[in-house]
Amino acid sequence: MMRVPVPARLRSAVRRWFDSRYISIADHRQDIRDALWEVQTLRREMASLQSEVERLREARSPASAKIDKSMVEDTRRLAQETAKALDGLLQNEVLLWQAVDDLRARLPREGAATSEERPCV
Amino acid sequence: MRVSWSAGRLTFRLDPEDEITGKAADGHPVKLAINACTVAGAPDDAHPDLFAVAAWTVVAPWTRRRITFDRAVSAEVAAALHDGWGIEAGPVGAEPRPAGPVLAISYSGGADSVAAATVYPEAPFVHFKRVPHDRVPNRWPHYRSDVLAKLARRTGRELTVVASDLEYTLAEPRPGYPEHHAVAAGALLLADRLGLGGLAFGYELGSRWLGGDRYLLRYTPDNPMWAPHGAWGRLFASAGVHIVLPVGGVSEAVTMRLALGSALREHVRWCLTGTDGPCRTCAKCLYKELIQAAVERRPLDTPIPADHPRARKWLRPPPYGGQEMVEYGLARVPGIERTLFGGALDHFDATEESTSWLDRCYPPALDEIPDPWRDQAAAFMRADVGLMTEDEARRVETWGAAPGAAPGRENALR
Repeated sequence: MMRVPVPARLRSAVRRWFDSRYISIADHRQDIRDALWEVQTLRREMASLQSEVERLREARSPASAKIDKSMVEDTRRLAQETAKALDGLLQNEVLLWQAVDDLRARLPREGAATSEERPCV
Repeated sequence: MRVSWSAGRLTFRLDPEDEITGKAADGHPVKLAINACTVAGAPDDAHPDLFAVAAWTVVAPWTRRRITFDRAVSAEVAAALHDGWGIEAGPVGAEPRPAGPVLAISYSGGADSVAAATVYPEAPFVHFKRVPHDRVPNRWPHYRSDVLAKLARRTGRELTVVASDLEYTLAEPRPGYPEHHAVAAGALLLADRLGLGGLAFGYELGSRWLGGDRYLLRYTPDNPMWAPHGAWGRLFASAGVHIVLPVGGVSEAVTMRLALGSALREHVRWCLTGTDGPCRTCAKCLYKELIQAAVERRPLDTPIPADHPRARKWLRPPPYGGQEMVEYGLARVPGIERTLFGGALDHFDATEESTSWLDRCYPPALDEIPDPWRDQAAAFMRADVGLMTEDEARRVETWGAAPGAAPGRENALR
């Protein structure tokens, strides 16, 4: 490497010129300190938000899930029982008309001209 | 049983001897849900025999001794009911209905009816569309009859869609046709308007000759549902609407091949639940996938895992409906031993050679197609499918027979 002697005045002038264009080490330290503070603040906020989420989740989910599930089960049971009951009801209606027709056939023929009832529709 | 029609609404009343639980023509017990249903678009001036036969497709399972119609029927229809079922039908007093010139296809959109449509490219379609019943809650909304009707419209064929809730007259097994023939109720009522002399169904070899679906699972030349000389065949003929089975002599492998090779390929849909396409997970999709994979000679492509309940049905020891097609698939699908059908291999020694009869047409099926439409179907089968040899035909005629036993003849009557 080749060393070139530079006059002290020129050297300090050049250094001043450079320094005026760059942030000082002290400023850098301060910036880093500020950033660190920001990070720590955000970390604290994150932690508190997280615990808030946990709290809300704890508070809500088990109770509401229980209600939903039992309601769904109940609705399902009710729907199935209703449908089954309706099946029986409709079949009974058919059998009732069968019995009515049978009775009418045994009656004396005076009412024979009555119009044919039809199942309700 | 007493039946009456009013503006497309069928109402029926049980006689003292009739009961809620009856039997369909294939012997299956069926329970009545309600005694009224509608068939939309039924003309009021249809021939009384058409009203009578359409009503019979619904009320037959629950009628024990006699049926009284709200208008006089022909002696021919009354005789067919008497000879076929032992039922006294009346009042009698109408001229019989002469058969018309037109053959329509009862088109469901599945592979079998598409194949039937391929045999008769000029035949119009009648499509049965299930609609909800006004008094029976619809617990089966996954059945997408709207999708099937839309696909039928896209075929571009002359089409009549008949909307009906008649399937809800059946409480058990579940809503469905009380008799298989109820799918034709709308076509029957419209027969005068459409000039019908015949109605073609997609019922294939298994249903017509092998006692398939839920019937006897053996050779059934006198099948009461589908033989022309069976109870239903004679009843339809007596009303001037002959039952025609264009693909009655070929297996579901052939109908699959014909359907996938036809111009209607894009509109084929055997799945009743899918919307944008077949669901691929219902029992029917699985069965048809086995057949399609066998026809296309490719590995099985199904999302159903081997331990799924739907897979189990095909792992039971035989016999069961559709067994001939399971054998056909086992012999042909590459890598079948690594699929959910692997366990079924234990029950069969199926080879391509032992199942090759299912690739050809059983000639007697062509002989029983009514005269005006026989030649076209026979020419089609000779050209596109090929006829069974005598040895192959014997495979049909000994199907399901116990070793050493003669081919069975079931009683055509109940």
